[in-house]
Amino acid sequence: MSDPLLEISDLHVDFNTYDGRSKVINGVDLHVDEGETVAIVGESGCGKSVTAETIMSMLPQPPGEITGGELRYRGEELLGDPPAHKRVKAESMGMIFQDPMTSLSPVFTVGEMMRDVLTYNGKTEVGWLELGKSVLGRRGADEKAMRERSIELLDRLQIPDPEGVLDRYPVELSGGMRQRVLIAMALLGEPEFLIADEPTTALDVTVQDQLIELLREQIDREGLSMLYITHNLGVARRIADRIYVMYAGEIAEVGTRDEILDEPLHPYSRGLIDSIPKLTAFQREGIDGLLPDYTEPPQGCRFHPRCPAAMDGVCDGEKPPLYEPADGHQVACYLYDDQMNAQDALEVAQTEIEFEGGSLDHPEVSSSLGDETAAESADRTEMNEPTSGQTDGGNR
Amino acid sequence: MRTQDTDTSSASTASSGETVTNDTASDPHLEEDPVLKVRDLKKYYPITGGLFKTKVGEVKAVDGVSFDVRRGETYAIVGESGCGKTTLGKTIARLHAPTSGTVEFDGTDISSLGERELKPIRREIQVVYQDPTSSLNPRKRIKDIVAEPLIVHDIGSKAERSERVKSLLKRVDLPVDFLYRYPNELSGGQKQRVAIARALTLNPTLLVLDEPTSALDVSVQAKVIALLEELQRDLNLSYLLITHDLSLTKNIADRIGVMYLGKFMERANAAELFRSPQNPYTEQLLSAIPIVEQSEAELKPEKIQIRGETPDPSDPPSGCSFHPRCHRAIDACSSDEPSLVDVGADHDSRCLLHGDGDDSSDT
Repeated sequence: MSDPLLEISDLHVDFNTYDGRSKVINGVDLHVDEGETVAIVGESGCGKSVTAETIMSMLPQPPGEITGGELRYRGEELLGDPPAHKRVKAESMGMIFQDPMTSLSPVFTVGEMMRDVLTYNGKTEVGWLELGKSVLGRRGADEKAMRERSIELLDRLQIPDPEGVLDRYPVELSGGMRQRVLIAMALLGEPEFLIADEPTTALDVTVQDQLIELLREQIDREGLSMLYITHNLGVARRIADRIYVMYAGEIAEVGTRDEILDEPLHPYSRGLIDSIPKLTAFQREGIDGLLPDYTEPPQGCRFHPRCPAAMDGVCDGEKPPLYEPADGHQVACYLYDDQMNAQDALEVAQTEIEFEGGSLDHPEVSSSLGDETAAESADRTEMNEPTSGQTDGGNR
Repeated sequence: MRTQDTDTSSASTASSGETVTNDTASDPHLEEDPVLKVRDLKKYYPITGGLFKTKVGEVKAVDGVSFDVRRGETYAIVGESGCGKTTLGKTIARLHAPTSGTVEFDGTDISSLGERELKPIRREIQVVYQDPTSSLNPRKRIKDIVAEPLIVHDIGSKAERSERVKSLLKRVDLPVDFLYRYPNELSGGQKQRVAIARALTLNPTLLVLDEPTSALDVSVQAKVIALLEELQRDLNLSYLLITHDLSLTKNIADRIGVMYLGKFMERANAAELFRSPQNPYTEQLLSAIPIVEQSEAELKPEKIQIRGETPDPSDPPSGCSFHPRCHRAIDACSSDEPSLVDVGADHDSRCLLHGDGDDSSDT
């Protein structure tokens, strides 16, 4: 296997807040190979965006603080070398943001913004002289070439009437078109590595579908590598080769798309996938509890307070290492060990991990419900059956 | 089963001759003592312009919608953003006055009632909104938020109210010590539970759920959905669920109306809609669902190349409003406006390709 294009090892990021020091990213290992699309999935607040911001050196510092770990791009260590980081970012990375309305300036036309991207692309610093030059006298020839290049890219992203779009402001475009413009701008600098932070979340499914297709095409065409951040596992299936499942600033599980989505091993992955309403089935159990407080994260596995298979004295001790039951399929959970093969591991997952819909957010409440309790807990366990005999009237 | 409503006449308004014959009147959706009966409901918003703010056009947010919600069922309205589904919900809850059409709740037409006459109806229809952070007053404690409907309707003594609030919190599985907290101390799922408790305070019959879980993470969403289903069973509630999540409706809705630019494109019971979608728009929506598990792929129509986005509702396309994006469009689609046509038991669809409505499944 060749060296990975991007590699993060043992990344730690803290945030200084009024409540204390939040240990948000706690030892994340991640790599993206050449020509590969990797997705990070997880719920809001799990640290996916912070990871992306660290890679793009966009982490607000303070309050953020990188307290440990390495970030290597083509073997070059970047975290300890901000100028190199800036240069690599300018030369080889592109980023697509989530919300096209806030990431595009409302006071410039699409053409002006694209021209700026082309003018300053690849430069880490722009001197006053250069700035003045490009503001005062844009050279005609350059201008024309830039315009043509912009039109070509907009065209590739299937924007109707690209020439007209160049003279329009973002408000005049629909959500899908704006997102296309944003993708076009990320591609303008001819990056070899793209980070996409939930680029389709704000869009309707039909538009999302078109955009994923387009993005896929562009990636294949240019042979780009991409890190795709999303909370939507369906989208991850469409676009990713490999998937990292992230929980509370740690990687819970990583594997190929099919391994993660069809045969998940980590209790969190299983709970997460089960909770999604699917065409086939929908488990109403969800996952008990809430994301932990980052200022005082649980000892050991950060998922153990919510985990149905948590083992006393094991899961609350040390942070679980990544076990690798199948080549490339790693899981941070004490249910598994290094001796297991893929088949064994899957069996363990199926027998040991059982989410029960017993209590909702608060385990302590359901027991104090008095006379309603029995009927209710019966209800929940039979949630999937349409037998609805229990019309106890509740408190009507 | 024919209903004696005024549906046919105006629902097929601008449609050209031939499709009018068999319209929504023979609709099996419209039947037996429903809790909510919506007939040809329209809500237009004027677009003003010029020096004197004269009306220069209108947005037909809801344009001739008819359906029934039966007692104890979940009726889902699905559609993309801007299709008018939220306006429909608000008009039904009479937060907006409709432009025309009727909304019959429990046999009473509430579409033209004044505020005073509406007050008793307001107890029966309650709304749960998408984003609990903005729908709960940040300066009130949970107990005051949940008790507010009781105060507005002047029900009970102080002690009774407080008793009621406590039992409601239990009902939505929140601990009693939440009574004295403020919304910002709660997580998203907990806030949505408070919003649900508030909606239940007055013992409503119908809940309008406007994207109740789309602001929540999936592991939390699952629990809120479970709670809503449990409440529906226990309290015999009827739900009007407004959502864009088709996979969710498949799992919890009894019947579904697919909306596009203010009109229903297809109505059917949930199982039927997913098994055999008849309208090209529904096909596209279903084909665009991102699936999570491999096994889901079989339950989806084949991949359809989707084009374009929802057009500007103030200037909808001529003929069938969906034709510019439709993968099955024929020439007639740009000029003739289709009407809802029966395509099966409890199933109708708005598409010219269905012909004149004498479809296979006719009696």
